[in-house]
Amino acid sequence: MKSGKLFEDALKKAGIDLHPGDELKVKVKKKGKHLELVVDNSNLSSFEYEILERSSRVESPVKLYRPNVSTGERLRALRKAAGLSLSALATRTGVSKGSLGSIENDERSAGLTVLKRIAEALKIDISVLVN
Amino acid sequence: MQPWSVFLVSEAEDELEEAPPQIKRKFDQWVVLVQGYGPWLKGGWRTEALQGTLKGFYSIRLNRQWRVIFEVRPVRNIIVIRIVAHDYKSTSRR
Repeated sequence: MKSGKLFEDALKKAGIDLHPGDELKVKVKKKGKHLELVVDNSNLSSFEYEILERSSRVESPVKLYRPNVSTGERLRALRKAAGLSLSALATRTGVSKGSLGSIENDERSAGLTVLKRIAEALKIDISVLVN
Repeated sequence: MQPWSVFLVSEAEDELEEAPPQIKRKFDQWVVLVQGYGPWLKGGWRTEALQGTLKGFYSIRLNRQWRVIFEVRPVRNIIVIRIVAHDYKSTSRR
């Protein structure tokens, strides 16, 4: 085990959580024969501190986010991000331009086969298309 | 292709709840795109890698004022740490 890793483990055992930018000061008290470790994070702005602090305890309360976006809106956004026009997507999927337009405007729902073809054309997972 | 997953820390959830509706919409749109194509999007989406003490974090602009600070974790996971409006009034001009 490397000494850096050992030191890190020792700090963890002592309950000292270090973040990038923190300064660690070591004070040696001769009489009591013990070390005093002081973490100085005063050089961080409150913005930086908040981000680093939240990130450090990410393991526990994180929730998977499911955006409230309809299939039509998803399809439009993903198609535009892929740089495809409605006609180009129609050619790639074999689904008519009108049908794709109706799906994008949420005027009609798409079947599994159509969604599968669209996902393949956009090179994405089919689950991204459905809410 | 395996989709990306977007997670929110509890504080970011609260921040999103309090954000204006157009920001929520824009955030949802960003999440959909990220699920499909990952965090490094082309086009009008500006994904910026943060520097200095915040190295390893990324920022995306939802509009001129609002930005999302996130982290990329292994196996296609994105952790949204902050959804924040930049206070331009408090920043002094050079």
